[in-house]
Formats: sequence, C-alpha cells, structure tokens
Amino acid sequence: MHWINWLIVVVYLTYVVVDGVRKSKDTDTISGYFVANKSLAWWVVGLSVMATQLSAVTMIGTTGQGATDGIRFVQIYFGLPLAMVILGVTIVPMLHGSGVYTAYEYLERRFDAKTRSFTALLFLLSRGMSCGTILAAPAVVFSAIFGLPLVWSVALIGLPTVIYTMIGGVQAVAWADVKQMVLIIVALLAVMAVLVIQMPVSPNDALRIAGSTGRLQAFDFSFNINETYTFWSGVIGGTFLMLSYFGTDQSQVQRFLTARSVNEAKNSLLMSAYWKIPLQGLVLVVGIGVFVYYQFVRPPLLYNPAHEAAVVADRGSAYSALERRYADAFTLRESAALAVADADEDTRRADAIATFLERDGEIESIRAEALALAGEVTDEATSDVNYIVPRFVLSELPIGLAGLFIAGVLAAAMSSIAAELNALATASVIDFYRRWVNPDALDSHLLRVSKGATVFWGIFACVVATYAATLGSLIEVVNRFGSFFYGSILGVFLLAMIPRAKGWGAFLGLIAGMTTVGYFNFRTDVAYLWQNLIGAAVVLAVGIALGSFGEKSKSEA
Amino acid sequence: MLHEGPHREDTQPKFRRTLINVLIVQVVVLVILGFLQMFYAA
Repeated sequence: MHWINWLIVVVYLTYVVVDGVRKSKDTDTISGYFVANKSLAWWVVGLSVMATQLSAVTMIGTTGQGATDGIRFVQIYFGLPLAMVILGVTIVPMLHGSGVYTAYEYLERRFDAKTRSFTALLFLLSRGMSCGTILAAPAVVFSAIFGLPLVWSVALIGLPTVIYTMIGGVQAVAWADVKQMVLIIVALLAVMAVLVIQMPVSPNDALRIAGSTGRLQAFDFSFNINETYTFWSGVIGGTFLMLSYFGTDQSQVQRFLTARSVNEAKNSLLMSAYWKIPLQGLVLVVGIGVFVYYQFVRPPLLYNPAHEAAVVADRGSAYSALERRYADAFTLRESAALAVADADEDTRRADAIATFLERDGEIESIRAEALALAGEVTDEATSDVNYIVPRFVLSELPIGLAGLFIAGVLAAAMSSIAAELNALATASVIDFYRRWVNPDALDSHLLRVSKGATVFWGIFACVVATYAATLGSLIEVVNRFGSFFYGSILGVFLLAMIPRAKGWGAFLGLIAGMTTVGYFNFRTDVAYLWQNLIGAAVVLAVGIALGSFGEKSKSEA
Repeated sequence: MLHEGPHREDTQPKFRRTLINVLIVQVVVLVILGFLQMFYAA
C-alpha cells in the first residue's frame, strides 16, 4: 500500500486515541464512566447505536456478499424500523426511566437476583467470544493482504480500542463512534463514486447486468421458514431479532442509557429506523458495483493474496493452467456482459442473458477449482468473499481513497469492539462485582475495577482473535449457543411488563425458551430469524403460566 | 440525575410525527428496491 494510504491510517488511529483520552475528563464517577451522566444528545447516541451495530464484517463481508449474492440480504433488516418503534414505547422508557446501568440490573428489581445474574452471565459469555470474532474477521484479512503476522493485525485494531475505551469510558466510545460513523459513510460513498466514474458501462447498463444475475432481487415473498432471507422472515423474525439486540443486549442498551432524556433515547433509536435499510442497501450496492466492474476488468482468480501466493509456490503449473482458462473465459464473459447491456428487445435480451449466465457459470467453476486447490495447499477454509472488496479497493481506488477505506474498516471494527468492551466491563462490575463481591464499594474503587475489567475483556478478545482459527469450533459452539438465548432474553423483558409474572416463571421460562430454541437449532432446518420469535414466545407462555401460581410479583407487592 | 423519569405527555406528539416520517422513508426505500427488482430482473 502507498505510504500516503498508510499515513491516513496512522493519522486516524492517533486521532481516535487522543480524542478518546480528551473525553475522559467527565468520567470520575461510575455514572459518568458508564452512562455519561445521561448527558448525550439524541444524534450522538443515534450514531453510536449505528456504529456499534456496523462492524468490519459489514464493510468487508457484507460488501463481498453483495458481490456474490446480491441485495437480498437487506430483507433481514425489514423488521428493524418496526422494532425501533416498539422499543421506543416499551423497553426504552422502562430502562431509561429506572436509573439502571445495565439491562440485567432491571431484571433483579422486577424479578430476582438469579434471573439477573443468569442473563448477565449469558451476555458475558456470548459477547466476550463475539468480541473476539469481530476483531478476528478484519485482522485475518489485513494479515493476508498486507503480509502482517496475525498478532500484529489484532494489536493494530485491539490496542487503540482498549486504550480509549478504558480511559474515556462510554463518552469516549460514543464520541469516537460519531466520528467513526462519518468516516465509514464517507469511505462507502467514495468507493461508490469511484465505481460510478470508472465503470466502463452506464449505470443503467450496469444495473441490467447485475439484474440479469438476480443480484437486484431484494424481495422474496415465499413463506418458507427454512429460508433465511425472505420478506416474511425479515419482517417477522427480523423484528424479534432487532427487539432482542437493541432492547436487551447491553452493548446497545448502554448506548441509549446515555441519552439526556427518554425522548432523546427514543429518537436515537429512530435514527437507525430511518437510515439502517438505506445504509445496508448502500453497502450491498457497493458489492454489486464491484461485481459489475469485474465483468470488464479481470479480477484475480483467488482474492486472498496469501492463498494465491501459497498455490503459486506449491502448485505453480496447475495454477497457471487454471489462470489461462480463466483469462479465456473472462474474455467470453465480458463480451456476453456487453451483449446484455446492448440488447434492446425482449427476445434478444433473453438470449443475451442466457449466454451471459452460462459464461458466468464457467468462470465460477474455474474459481471453484482454484479454491479447491488453495484448500489442498493451505488446509484452511478457502471462501474468499471477505477479500473481494479490499482487493478491489487496493488495486482500483486512487491513492488516498484506499487509505480512507482501510481507515473506514478499522473504524467499523473499533466502534463495535469499543461498545462491546464497555458493555462487558459494565456488566462485570455492576452485575457481578458490585452485586456479589463488594456492594459498598466507593465510586473511585469501582472506577479502577471498571478500567481493569475493560483491559481484561480487551485482552480476552485479542487472545480469542489471535487463536480464532484454532478455536474455530469452540467459537462456533459459543455463537450457536448465543443464538439460543437471544429471543429468550427478549421474552424475559416482555414478561417484565406483565404484572402477574414473577421470578421463578421468568427464570424457568428462560431455561425452557433456550432449550426449545436449542432443539429447533439442532433438530430442524428452521431459519435462525424465526428462532428468536420461538424463544420469546416460549418464555412468555411459560412465564405467564407459572405466574398465575404462587406468590405475587415484586411489582405488585 | 440517574432517576430521570419519562416525559410522555410533552414528547408524544413529536414522537408520533417522527414515527410517521420513519414510515414514509421506509415506504420510499421499499418502492426503490421494488423498482430495481421489477425493471432489472432477469
């Protein structure tokens, strides 16, 4: 990468840390450190919410998904606006108005200590691991592209993040999120602008080519509960997923707890309701644009440069033969793509599309052979979806813009990781240390423990990220386990709004919900979006059924 | 400061207005996506 691009990356990293340290001046109490003394404006919180959700996986993985699979992934977000509206009139006033530091703290006030501790423990386990995986995704790509040892890439992202999160607390996280979100959007728009300017065909023709492969098919109205991306799974299952994530996950709840008032907290969530689908559309369209661009400029046969180098070194002649076939197939596909763009009658267009799809299939089969070769040589997973857009950026973007995009990927990674470290430290200190170990601790002591907890979770995330490949199956198990209770925890919070529900009902309902989702996860093909709905429904049913027996709930007492 | 309560009465009209705006924006976005699908599908 050109030194100017590196300079942009270094300036960004330095600025984030220095700015985060500057924001530490109002964090001498735990209220300041954990919820910014409830002083932040709705737009700061709103951008922080969006930055927390948008990780580096979105910048490199989702754009890659746009390139390979098209725009249909956007359906997963169709329930988000509705979820934000529901949260605005239910959980947001309930949590913001109750003066809690964590969502789980509220569960003790409403139910009992065991329900609080169990949900907080589930959060720590799953978010601790997921923090490692969202750090690992960009670190692995950076390692392969820049030839850095993985541990350096992990440190490049993890170290500055831990420093500003530990020193500045939630204020540093929120204000860094604002700047990072702006950087991310500017980077995406810059890539889009370059694509439009450098595209060898008109935007209309580019859309025709993308549309002919089905990549512009945003809606699938089939009602198939085994299919992840459909309109109905997005609207119904997606609503429950977003309700769980934004309403009960401490990494998001802590964002809106920093808002000045309930109304500002509501409006901060509505910012995502406005902008999430258009933003996700932009991310996917960037990927689709890269796909069309690569119809006219030959991309590498393998996008992962580390795998490419390994295959060239180990199976040079086989790879050269594949590359020759690839070059010929590319020329044929390019002319077929142009024919799709130029066809002006329905019958001619249908023929042109059929030829184009056939030639695109040929390219894909050659790539599949190359990926299989890479798998044999490296003995690693060979999917290179995450490398498509970074390779495009580094080879096709002008000097400066490439650095801006890399800084944007770092910003996306750091904004998510910082919020998660901040939330993990908060739950560790408030729900465990202060609750069970040292209930009478002074603020100054709790602050020191909080900073220590942030460093601990930061190191934990870095270790998980560094050994992500080795820990692959463990991480998968934890992530899968995490999906068991997402909807179930939402069920507990919904139960909290029902006066007749009580502690044992909530606790046993949570266990029943997780067990049921576990069954659906392992024994059926029901798509995971629907499992959130199932989990919430089981908790509600069990909680309400048990709530009609025994003592009165705390809220009634 | 932590025990600030909700201010429902003076914020509901503004919230409802925002809500209507959100719905309008979503409909516009869905129409654009639908347009892309209809006019450029294979």
